[in-house]
Amino acid sequence: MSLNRVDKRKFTEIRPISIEQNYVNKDGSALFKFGDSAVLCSINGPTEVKVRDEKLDKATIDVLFKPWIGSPGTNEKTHELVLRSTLESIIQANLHPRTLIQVVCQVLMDDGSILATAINATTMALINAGISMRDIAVAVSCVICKDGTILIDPKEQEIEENQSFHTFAFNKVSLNLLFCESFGVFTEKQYFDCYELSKTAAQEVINEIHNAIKYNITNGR
Amino acid sequence: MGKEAELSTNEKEFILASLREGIRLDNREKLDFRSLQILLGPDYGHSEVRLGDTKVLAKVSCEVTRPHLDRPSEGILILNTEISPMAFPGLDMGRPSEEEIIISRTLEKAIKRNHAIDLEGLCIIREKKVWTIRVDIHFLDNDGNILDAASIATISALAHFRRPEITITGEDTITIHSAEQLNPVPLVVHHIPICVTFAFFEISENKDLWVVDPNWQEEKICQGDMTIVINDHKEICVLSKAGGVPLSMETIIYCSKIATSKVEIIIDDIRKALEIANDKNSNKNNNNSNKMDKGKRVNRD
Repeated sequence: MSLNRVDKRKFTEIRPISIEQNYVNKDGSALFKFGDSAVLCSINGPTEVKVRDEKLDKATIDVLFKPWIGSPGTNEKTHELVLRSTLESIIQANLHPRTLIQVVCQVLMDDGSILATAINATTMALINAGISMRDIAVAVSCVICKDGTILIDPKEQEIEENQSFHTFAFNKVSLNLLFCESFGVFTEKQYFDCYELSKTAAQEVINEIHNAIKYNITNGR
Repeated sequence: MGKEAELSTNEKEFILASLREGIRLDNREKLDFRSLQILLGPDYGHSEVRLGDTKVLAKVSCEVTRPHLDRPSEGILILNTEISPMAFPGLDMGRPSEEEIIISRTLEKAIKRNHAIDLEGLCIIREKKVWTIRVDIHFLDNDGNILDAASIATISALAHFRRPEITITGEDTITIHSAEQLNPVPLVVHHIPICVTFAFFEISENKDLWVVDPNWQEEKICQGDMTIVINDHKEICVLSKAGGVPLSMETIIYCSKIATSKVEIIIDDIRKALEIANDKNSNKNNNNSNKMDKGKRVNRD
């Protein structure tokens, strides 16, 4: 059994989080880092929409996910789909009918748990852009090792070595599940253990987000 | 998708009127560059360049591939300059835009066609295996003159990059060593080409009105631009002027002199950034090798 993780963290410990809003000069933007995984998200909108994509009763949400290396492939398209459906459930799109809210996620550094990082970055960017939301989404990833230990917020190396990989997104108000994605072999009990541990970790992410917002407000940004 | 907001007539006239008096809105002289920041690392070949509010990130990666048939003993250099609505709001993702074509063509000319990187050294086994070096250039924010920022990011990332060391073990087999086993190898950089862009507003016989490093607003109202690529040996590599106001020979020669002095300052900045980054890495390596030495001694005991 591996007693220590690659970077000497505890099993249930997330990597240090760093949040920087207004990173680029757009309607809203945020850089979210889980250790060495960094995603920059920028929001344009609500803005003019193409007639083809126009919806009469709500805003169209368009998500673009750009990888660190290479051109977007099927993996990135899946991330876009996941992000869009998660966002559609929390953004109050009916307040801005016949407009476009464009979300661009750019991976700046990839060291595992990239989808969770992207969801958190998007949340922060939407807050920064002042887009009305019912709730906010926070995400955490975890892996199950071959010996059954659960590691929260894994690095790339840890994901490669392990049996199954899970990403959970929770809403902030009630900490209920918004989205989940799992790969690999696992039992029902293991899955619920992952769920509970991720929930605890998500609370930590929420605290960090709170601190970042407080800091930005008190410093007048 | 919505179009990018245009400047109003009042804004245009205000900027032009101030330029005529020799004032730029961001308090620069007409021959000043904005502040330049080059952040290298933490990984090899990762470079973020900030030119004022313009931000460009370049990431170099490598893999072993088959060479092109017509160049069997040369490695391959790919520059990927896909632009996104992050830096260009209102971009139509369907087809490549004019900006994208200009950026990618100029960079291609400046870096690939000028042989800034030695490609023959990237050959492993003739006709079978070569290194493909890929530079992904991400445009994060556009506040004008994104081309100069991209050229600085690309060349600094290439100069900072280290590829893994390899040994040829059989006729067709090679071993790629990890950074812990053997120190990674830097690329051979023949020269450092840097773009300098000028924007021209009103060109008349008695007074020329132009600036270096135009910001977003200046780019919007200028009547023509010119990009000169000069390397660290003070040679002109590319001179690109795609339409716009006609310029006199004297202006072009004067511009190239200005560009030479700007390039010197920029290359100094790149060298400083590289030194800082290499110091950090060598400290890391020293620590690693110390640990390894200790390990060996323990084994001997």
